[in-house]
Amino acid sequence: MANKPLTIESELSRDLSLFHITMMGLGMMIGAGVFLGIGNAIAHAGPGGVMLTFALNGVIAICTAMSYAELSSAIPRAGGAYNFARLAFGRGPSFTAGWMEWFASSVAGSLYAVTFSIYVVRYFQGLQLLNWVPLSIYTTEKAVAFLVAALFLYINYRGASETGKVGAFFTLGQTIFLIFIGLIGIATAIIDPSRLQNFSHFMPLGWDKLLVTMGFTYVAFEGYEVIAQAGDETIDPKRNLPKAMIYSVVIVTITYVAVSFASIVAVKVGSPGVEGPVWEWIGQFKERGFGEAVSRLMPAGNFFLTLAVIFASVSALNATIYSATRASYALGRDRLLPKFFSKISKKQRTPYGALLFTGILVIGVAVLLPTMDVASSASIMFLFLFFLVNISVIRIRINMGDELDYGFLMPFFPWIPLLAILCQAILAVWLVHMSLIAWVIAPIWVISSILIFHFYSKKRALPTREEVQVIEEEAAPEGEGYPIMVAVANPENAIPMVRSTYYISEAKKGRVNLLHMVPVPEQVPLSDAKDLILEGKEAIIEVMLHLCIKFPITTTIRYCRNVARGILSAVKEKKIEMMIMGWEGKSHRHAFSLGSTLDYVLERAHCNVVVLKDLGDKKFKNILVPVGGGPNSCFALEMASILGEKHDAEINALIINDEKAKIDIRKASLARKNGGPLAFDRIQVKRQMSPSVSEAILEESEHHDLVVLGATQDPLIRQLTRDSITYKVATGCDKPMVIVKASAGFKSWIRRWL
Amino acid sequence: MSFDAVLGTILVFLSLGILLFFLFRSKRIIKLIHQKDLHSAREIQNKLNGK
Repeated sequence: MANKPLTIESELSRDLSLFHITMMGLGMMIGAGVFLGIGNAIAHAGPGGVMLTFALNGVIAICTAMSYAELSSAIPRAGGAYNFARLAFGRGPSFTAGWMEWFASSVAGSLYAVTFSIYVVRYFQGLQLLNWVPLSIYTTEKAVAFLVAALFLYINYRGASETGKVGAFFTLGQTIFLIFIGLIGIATAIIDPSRLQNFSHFMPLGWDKLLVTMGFTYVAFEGYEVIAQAGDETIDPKRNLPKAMIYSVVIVTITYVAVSFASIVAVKVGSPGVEGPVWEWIGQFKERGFGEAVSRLMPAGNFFLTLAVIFASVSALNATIYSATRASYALGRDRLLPKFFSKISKKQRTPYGALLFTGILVIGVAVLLPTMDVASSASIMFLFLFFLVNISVIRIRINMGDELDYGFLMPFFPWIPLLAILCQAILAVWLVHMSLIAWVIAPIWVISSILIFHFYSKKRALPTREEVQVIEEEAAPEGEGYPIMVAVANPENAIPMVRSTYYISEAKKGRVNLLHMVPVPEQVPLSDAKDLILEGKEAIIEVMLHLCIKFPITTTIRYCRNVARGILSAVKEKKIEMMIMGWEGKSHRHAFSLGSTLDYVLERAHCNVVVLKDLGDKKFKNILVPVGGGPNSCFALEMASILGEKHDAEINALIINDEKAKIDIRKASLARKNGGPLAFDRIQVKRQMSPSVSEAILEESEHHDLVVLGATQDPLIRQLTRDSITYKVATGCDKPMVIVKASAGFKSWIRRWL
Repeated sequence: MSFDAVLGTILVFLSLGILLFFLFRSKRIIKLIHQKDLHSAREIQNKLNGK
């Protein structure tokens, strides 16, 4: 016992339930946007416009919430947009996301400080308790905003951060209060239907004003970013994170619409002090309009509303300072920003460097900018951030959808994120009508992120878990030659590939790069990855022994998190023109046609791909090439010509269902760019009619000893399923086979991106 | 009631309807994924499409 080493194990505590994280999201949303936004929205868009503003924003918000929900369910780690952009686009855009997140959260904090000060000053002013203050109301509001922001910065420095559990109950209270106001509004309208006349000028200033009000109130829908940040602490995150995001958006939208309705019906036309249309009367108070309306709706409405605003704004202010500090600390920790950002106080154990800069941002924006410019700056930055997340969700689903473990998948993909991107772009552009300052600040902030990254962060960034890393590389002497890459999986599949690879490389005057990918699971530390490469080394040496006499050879062993993505990145890096791979003839996983690696490479590689199945050292006398007239058929004929010359074989080009004899092999081969010569003297054309193309090929393959098959030009959706001709022939044919796919250039680029 | 009011009211209720639709649809998807123990996007999509 005495000799047993003492080990301390640490594990993550997951104790936030669905209720807690839903309330966290609601707390961030209800912080300010609704209290400040309603009065201004009524002033700009009228009584109907304010309800439409929140209802339509809810629809846009749920589209982005579903993007967040999908990504968080698959990547349930703290980091939010910073993480998603890292996975989708790499370090540069991820820095921009983190940089925007820091700014957006800080400016949202400024907005909450301003909301607090406006409502508190207004309340005390109403009680005549501020008559002794020698400052104007505007300056008093700014001074209170400064004080409350400074107080919460200090609280955050002391580390007394409110936890999700305690905050949840405050948020529940605020939400219930707002729902209560909405219900009283509905009851008032039922009791006194004449108040519905307040809606008679539904959109008095025109429908285009709606885009302006939707833009500056969008900050009231940003809570799912905070929910995503809680991924590490949530119980059953794959199920609860998406649910919380969607629930919170639905709850706030219904609440906001109900409260907007209540604000309009709260005031009776012709009541004391109200002149002209009600919407004009509420609108004249701007940020304070909601408070003025509620004070007429119920007794002591002013008091309860001020109390609700105090709770809502301070809890949201605390959360945003915490969140902004965490975002800037992460950038400092990864050395994307100076080390000072990651400095931690020895006494308080809080990141004082990040907190200091966050404080400067929060206080600077709150004090220097007018309220609507603060709201617009926060909104526009969140719009930019969500824009990036919506692009990330598309890219991640297409590139990594088969590897990630999803807990939620949004319906109508990719139309929902595309719709969100479009709507957010329109709202961001329209915000120029509300705040020119916001439209100056936001692009400067984004451009500064690009400049900082290129001139500072790129050189200093600490290495994190790279997707692919080269472990060993032995370069061939510099020389010319057609760049061919051969993916070698293990010694068993390496040898059967050698002879055909030799023929192809010789015909193409190739420069061969042997590649072995070592998949390393996330749980295995990178330092242990070298233990996994022995088998790969053995396979590569086997192939080298056969090929190195004739061709210049480069060998590469890489470790990666995913083999297919690793292969594609190697193809891109080394500017490979042709990829040769082996296939054992079956797919291990039901979801894939030829296998997860082959499907992926065939679909996305921007070079020519040749897949060899069971060729070994066999001799071929009859080669069958099904021809459809496209670039893949021509490439198949080229490969068949190379193998036909070496084996002295006949090549039968099988054309099926070409009634009008439109397919002309000579013309098609001439039209193909960068294609090699075809052995026309060996090619016999056979035309045939058949109700089933795949069955006709399979029947004909019985009389041949090698099939060279071009991948079909089926639409992407069909290729993803098991309906494609390639899949049916490849799995139904027991003869040796070569499957080829020609580089699709621009088309393959589009596929990789969309 | 003016045309603006009719159109606006329809849009408000339509928006709320869309929200509720996505809420129930999402709940169904989450339930399906966990009941059938689905993992990758392709598996889930195939199941949702009834394949």
